[in-house]
Amino acid sequence: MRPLTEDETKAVFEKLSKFIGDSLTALLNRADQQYCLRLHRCRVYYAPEPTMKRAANVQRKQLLSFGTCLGKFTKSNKFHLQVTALDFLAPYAKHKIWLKPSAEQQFLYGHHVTKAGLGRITDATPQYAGLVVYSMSDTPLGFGVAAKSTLQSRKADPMALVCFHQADIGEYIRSEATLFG
Amino acid sequence: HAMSVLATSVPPTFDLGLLLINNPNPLDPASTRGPELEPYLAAVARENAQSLLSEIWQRLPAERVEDAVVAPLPPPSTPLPREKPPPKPKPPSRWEEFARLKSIRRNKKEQAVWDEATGEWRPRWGYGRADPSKEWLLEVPASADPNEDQFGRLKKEKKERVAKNELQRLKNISRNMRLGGTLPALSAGGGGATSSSKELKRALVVAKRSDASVGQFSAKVGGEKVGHLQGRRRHFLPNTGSLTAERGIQEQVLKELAARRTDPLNTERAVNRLQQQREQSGDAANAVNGRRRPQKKKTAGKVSTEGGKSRRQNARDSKSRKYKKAAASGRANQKMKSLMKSKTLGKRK
Repeated sequence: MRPLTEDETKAVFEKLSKFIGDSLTALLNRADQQYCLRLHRCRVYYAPEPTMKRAANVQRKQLLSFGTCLGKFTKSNKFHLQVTALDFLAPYAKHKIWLKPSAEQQFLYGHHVTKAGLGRITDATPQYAGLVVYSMSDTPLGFGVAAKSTLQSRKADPMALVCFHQADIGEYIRSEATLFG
Repeated sequence: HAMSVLATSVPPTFDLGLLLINNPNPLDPASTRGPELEPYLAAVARENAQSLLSEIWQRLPAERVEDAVVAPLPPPSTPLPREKPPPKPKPPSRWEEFARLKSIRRNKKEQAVWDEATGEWRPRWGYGRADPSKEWLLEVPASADPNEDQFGRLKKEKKERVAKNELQRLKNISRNMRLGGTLPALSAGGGGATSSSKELKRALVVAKRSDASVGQFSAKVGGEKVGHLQGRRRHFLPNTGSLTAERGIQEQVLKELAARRTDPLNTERAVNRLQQQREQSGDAANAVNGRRRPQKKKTAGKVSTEGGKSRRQNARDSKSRKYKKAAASGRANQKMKSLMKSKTLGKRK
């Protein structure tokens, strides 16, 4: 377990700011407790400082997880956000997309969102912006990348993709073995 | 020419390492005049070359390397003259002059020294030596100020000695340069081979890591670019303890990200607003078109052919046609139509 280097911090913040923008400071400067980011076995964990200190007492091989896992660094040092970060992305999301009930199941199985499944989308979403995906009852389902901007998605035909799938809460069951290393 | 130039003559000598044939026989004066000169010289050269090659194949053992027959050449026996002038002898340093005058000779010392305190043999220098600066107890001599820091005094004296030695060394070098010498070779540079900047950089890297902490705390020399993976160990911030350094890095990265944001006015949103207003006002020229004819699905990575389609493409088209038919009559389409009728799709925040 160690703090992130400058390059790693940059990679993580870039990814996070795609979804939550300036609210990143709200994640770092919290009023209740001091939170910190730590790297353990190529995964980035976001935890309050007392939790992190206790986790530091566990052997490295035997420490599975602590706090919240935001994502992992791949072998070529690229950062991928995981669905476990959804709890922190959802409240601060800049651009949101709501799915119709018929398309929810498709998304939870890992498919992309087509225009036919699109319920609502935040106004002025640029293309390739980070989107947090909700159901019509405002439950966060996952996140992805906008395939089209709001204007473009209104003019698109029903089978066109409007959101590329990146992570969904179905992964807790599908990728149970790999989510936590 | 029937005349053989090698008939009654001194046999040539060979230096096979340099592919050299030494034929001391003088040229025939009669043949060097007139029109016979060129053919005569060509004949002489040909015969000498022939005897050199025959000597090579006679004298040396032939080997076989893959498909070729090869004869390894012996080392050259002819001494060649120097390419560059010989190096000038270094002028003696001040100590060397003094030692010569006073006939001080170097005493070879043994590496191990008897250490009374621990009662064992210790090396004179290096790891495990009896270092006075590492003593846990130092007596205050009678002549010294009782409030003086003895440990600090030892440290200061050592620093002064090191600095004095360094000064003398630099003075020697400058005297050498003044008397027409060269800079001393860097020990990490491989004995004087520091001509290129690459070798100098290599020597710097080696010198920096040649200390007890493997260069972890060596300060960066001005203009030096350190590769982020250079050196055996990477240096990370401490895990626990004060989080200020970590915060500092995070603040800096946030600042960089904020600086990169190019569009503080959010022109995209402004354009969207404008577009919606135009549509709501019922401007025919700018209104969103009705349901366009759905385009054919394009398969990624497949080059579309001009005329005939492949069987797979036809199959796909028929499938898409089936879905389109279903979609045209299904509930989804009714919903789509009703949605298109309503003015806005995106909910304004």
